[in-house]
Amino acid sequence: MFEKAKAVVIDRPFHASVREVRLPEVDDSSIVIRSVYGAITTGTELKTWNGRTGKLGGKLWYPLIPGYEQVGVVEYVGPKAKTTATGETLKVGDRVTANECRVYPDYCAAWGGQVGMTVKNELTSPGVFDMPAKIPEGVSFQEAVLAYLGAVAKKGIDKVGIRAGETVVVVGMGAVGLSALQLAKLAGATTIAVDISPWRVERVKKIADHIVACDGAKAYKPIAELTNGRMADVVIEASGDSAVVNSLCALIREGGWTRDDDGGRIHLQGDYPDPISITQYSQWFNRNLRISTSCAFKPGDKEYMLNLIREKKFDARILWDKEISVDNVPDEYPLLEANHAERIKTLIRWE
Amino acid sequence: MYEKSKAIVVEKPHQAVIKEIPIAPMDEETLVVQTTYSAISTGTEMKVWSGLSGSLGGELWYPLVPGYEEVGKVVHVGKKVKGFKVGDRVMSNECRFYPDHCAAWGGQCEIVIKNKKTSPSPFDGAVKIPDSLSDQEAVLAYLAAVAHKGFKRVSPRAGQTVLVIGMGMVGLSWIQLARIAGCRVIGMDVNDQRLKLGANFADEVIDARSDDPAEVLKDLTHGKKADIIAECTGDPGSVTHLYQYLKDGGWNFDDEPGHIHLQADYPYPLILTPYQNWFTKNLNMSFTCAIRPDGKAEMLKLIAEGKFDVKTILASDMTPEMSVNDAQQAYEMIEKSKKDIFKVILKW
Repeated sequence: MFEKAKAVVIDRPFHASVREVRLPEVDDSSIVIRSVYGAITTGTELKTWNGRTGKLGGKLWYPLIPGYEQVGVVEYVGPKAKTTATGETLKVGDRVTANECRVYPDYCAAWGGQVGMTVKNELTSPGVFDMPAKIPEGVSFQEAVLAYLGAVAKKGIDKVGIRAGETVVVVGMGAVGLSALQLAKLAGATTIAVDISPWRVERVKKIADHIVACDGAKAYKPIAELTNGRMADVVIEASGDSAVVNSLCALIREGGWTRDDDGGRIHLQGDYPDPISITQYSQWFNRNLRISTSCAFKPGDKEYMLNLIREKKFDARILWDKEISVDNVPDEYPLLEANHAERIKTLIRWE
Repeated sequence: MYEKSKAIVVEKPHQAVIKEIPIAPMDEETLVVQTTYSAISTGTEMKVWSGLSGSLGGELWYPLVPGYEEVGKVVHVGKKVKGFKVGDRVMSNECRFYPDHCAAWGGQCEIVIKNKKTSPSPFDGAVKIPDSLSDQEAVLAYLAAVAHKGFKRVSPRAGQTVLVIGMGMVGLSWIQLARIAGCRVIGMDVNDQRLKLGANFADEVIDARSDDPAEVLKDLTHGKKADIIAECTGDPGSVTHLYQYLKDGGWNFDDEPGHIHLQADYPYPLILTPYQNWFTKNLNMSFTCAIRPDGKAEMLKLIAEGKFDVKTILASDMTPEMSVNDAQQAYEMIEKSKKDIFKVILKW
């Protein structure tokens, strides 16, 4: 019934094509989703295209099917299918996010989302957070695509724990940084958006309290000026650039010397292909700071983000700047890489 | 009244001498302590002696007065000083100013001036030593308080598994604090004598030289590994491997992720790579520097109550006592056989 589907395949670094692939077996516990929209992730997915992803503990090989941001319509629900992370039973015709499909018979799934029919079951989507999320009325397919990276940012924001009135610097104004910035603002923080690209920071003027167009590794001076030398309570690193991480301690306020002050916090929200190197150590530990990391998101986070979009509290539209047909994806990867300073994200139309 | 004092002066890396030097001026807010015992801390203090400390933001230069593990008796109480009398036994620790020498951190001096200029930090104050403790025992309370700040920051709970790497004074203090809190504590080191010392306090110890220490830890914890890691070696190479010892977690609501506390001072860069091995643990990492304002008093209390054991450490062959006049030999001895010497106690 659902044996084959069109997919984006990366045969080896820098070589992508669109072709028909065999799907994982559809069993009684499966949900099958027909893709309507998807997107190219400028960070992680582009690294599977240009070969910079790393070994993933031996789980990355070519040819692979990339991606994880697609949404669509439920075509089949097996009698033993699981409910969503929030306990809803899906039915044919429901609008949902599809996301990861972690197993294919003939390809590596990294993470298998760029496909016309997504098979979701215990084998392809074992985690509770892997389950599809229902798209509420009033949220378009295009907006729903962005709930995935919004949820990634939400897990980080929850982890770093933002208190009203704190100064939060977000470095990197890609889709994750733009999401983190909006969530920090909703938590009551004063936000400072930093990006090396003037084009990227210019477009966040309406959602950030302050903008700084400079390399995150050199942001000390402008942030000192904006904060009267106090610096940030929290830095959220969303550029994915290890060199930025290595300089972040300078952006964090002094603290951690009294009983009621735990010092500042750094959350690493990117995926870093190059080593992170913490030095001079005295400059880090003198701040008594905390660094947190998070991967993916928690069950319910996609639903939470979809609801924020429905309530118009989260601007999903600012997270993409171009839309193409799936057949043009192989040409879009090199364009995204070449023009990254003035690009955010490309949405993919499947039909 | 006190203008000069005998002190250990590190004139340049690897060269310590005992000499008389000018000390900070006294005022009405000054407490003066005559040192009876001190210790050479094998981490930070050895690095100022051997030249590996780094620039400390421009605040490190030679000649310097090292040290911060000092105790003594009060010999002068300024008019505006409250809570002390002449003859009190106190922890004196840092003295952050000398007219002609860098203070890094200035404790290795016979006459220690304590006032706003020399001891400005909220945790710099002198603290009275309970009568039941010897001066030597009180010397060890400083690094115990350093561990106490990190421990309080992480706040391990009863039943959690805490892996403590590095069986120096900070590591042994972490082990004891975690045991008091009801944690299961596993110590790790690369030296037989230190492992033996650690076994007095930890539930288990792992020899990090074994073929696969992460596998040993896995066996000891039914596959789960550590909830919390306290890195106390000061070795950047140790940090690079820490993710291997940490439990998985942070995917749902009931699987709290692991926590790494970097408790030492690292002279070389800490390299975290490949990043996937770190962030797929959803881990937290924290740093603390020095001690909490109440740290010294809390540790002295725990020692006096018999809950925190320093006697076993003092009784060890690895903790020799020497005269302060032999400080240069003591530094040389520690550098030569660093793993076998826990700490040198200096008698003034």
